[in-house]
Amino acid sequence: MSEQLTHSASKKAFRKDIPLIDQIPPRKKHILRGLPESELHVEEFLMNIGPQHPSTHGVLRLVVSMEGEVVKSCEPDLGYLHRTFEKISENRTYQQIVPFTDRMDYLGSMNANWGVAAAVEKLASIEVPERAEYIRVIVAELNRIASHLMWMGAFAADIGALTGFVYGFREREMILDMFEEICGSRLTYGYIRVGGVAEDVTPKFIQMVNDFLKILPDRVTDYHDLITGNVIFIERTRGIGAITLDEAISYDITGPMLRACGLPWDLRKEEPYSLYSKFDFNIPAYFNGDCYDRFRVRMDEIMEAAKIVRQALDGLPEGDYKVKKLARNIKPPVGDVYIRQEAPRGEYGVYMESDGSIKPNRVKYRTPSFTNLSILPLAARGWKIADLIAILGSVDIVLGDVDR
Amino acid sequence: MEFQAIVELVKSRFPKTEAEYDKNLIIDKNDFFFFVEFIRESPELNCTVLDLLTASDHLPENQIHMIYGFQSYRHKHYVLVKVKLDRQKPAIGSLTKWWGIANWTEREVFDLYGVQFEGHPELRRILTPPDFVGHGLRKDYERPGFFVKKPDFK
Repeated sequence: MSEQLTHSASKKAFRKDIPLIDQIPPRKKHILRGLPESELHVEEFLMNIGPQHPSTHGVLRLVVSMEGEVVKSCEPDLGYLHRTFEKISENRTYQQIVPFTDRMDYLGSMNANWGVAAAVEKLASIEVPERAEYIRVIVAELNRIASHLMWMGAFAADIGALTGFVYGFREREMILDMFEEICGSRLTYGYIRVGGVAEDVTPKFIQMVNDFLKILPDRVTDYHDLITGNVIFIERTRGIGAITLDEAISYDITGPMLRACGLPWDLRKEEPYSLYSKFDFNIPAYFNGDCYDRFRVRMDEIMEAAKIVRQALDGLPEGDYKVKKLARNIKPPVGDVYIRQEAPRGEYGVYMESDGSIKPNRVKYRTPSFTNLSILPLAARGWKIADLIAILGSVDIVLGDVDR
Repeated sequence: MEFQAIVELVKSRFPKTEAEYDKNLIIDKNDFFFFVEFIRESPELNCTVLDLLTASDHLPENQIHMIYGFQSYRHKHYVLVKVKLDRQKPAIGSLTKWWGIANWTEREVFDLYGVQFEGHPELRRILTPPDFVGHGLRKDYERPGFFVKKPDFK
């Protein structure tokens, strides 16, 4: 090799008898293998992604078997964030369980709190004041908006548009400021508790929500201009990782991923819990089941959630924000309860079994991220490695929610 | 479909069925596979979604209860089903041939409760590491000591 270089360098490149580029003989292929082309065989190789990798959104490890650049199989390796919350919940009183659920789905903490609070209230037959239910709806829908905005930024960053990350955080910051105003905390709230909410909403909070709802439509229109109509974004997401409705039902996919497959199934509409039967809102759904439709479903859901917040804020009644007299240790009668709610990522269920004592016998969190992630090996098969990152991003996993 | 109607329909096919707390069905273990086929295929029930699959440990009764939640998108009803297993050797048929999600949820139950699922393609731990000893969510699980016991050099 060095001989060739010195030889060609000794020639004067500007002289007319030096051959032009198209006359240079083609380079020998597969020099490294040292095999003639006919004897070459393609072989699969394993690639390890994570557990510490920015595009896995936490500590998820993917063992990807690839042929060239094409994903042949993809095996997620879970459990790096397994903190045994179900076991911990069995050893705490009913009120003490609530703060642990913040740490599971840390982007939708309000919804996670609400599931446990609703389960305990149903188990122990506790009547919640109407004002508390209204406040719950407001904060849960605000948290849905924050979660989807955060996801939008992270998904754009997965695709390669790093600026989207900053845009998504801009409006999420406003929502976190509101939550800081009512409960003093920005990520793990513990705000929705058994028998109501922790603190009453303040006039400043209501003013902040009103300001936020005024600017949100313009901002979302901006995002549609920036991202939804972007040719590069469409090329990277349309048709990528498409799953059919049958596959989605077989893998128990819920939430925006299911609605992107063509089934407008939303527990807020189909089995209205709390006050959702009072409000007027639509369920956005698209038909292709690919990454692009998942994006559009979530972007539409932001506006629908804003609609619900507007109506709930207008109808907010006066009254108590929590049950006045609640026993220090609740002792529900023997029985069990299964509560299902529509969290930002999908169906969030809490199964709770009481044996009559102050501690539950069994608490099961049916988290949407776990079930939605289970379709990744199927959805990623046959796509390229860059598409695998897009598909994983479009699932919208929170690893604290997967591993619990 | 209302719960009472579901109970009567299932009882006519499987007489050993019981109702619990006016909302759950308790199915005999031997009937379970036929019951799942019935609840999935029959036009009245048509529960095409396996929404919940978990277990709970009942140490005093020496039982492990398998808990299944079936959802019907068409008829919009939800059926919670329990199957009582022996705690010493818990084993039940796997649902992986009908539902893809059963693969992961059954692995989770195997991991945390030690229930054997007959016919599962790859029954291994999912949340805890592969060298974990014991099943964490059982009531009699004892956490190993944090410090390794020093050898006795007498």
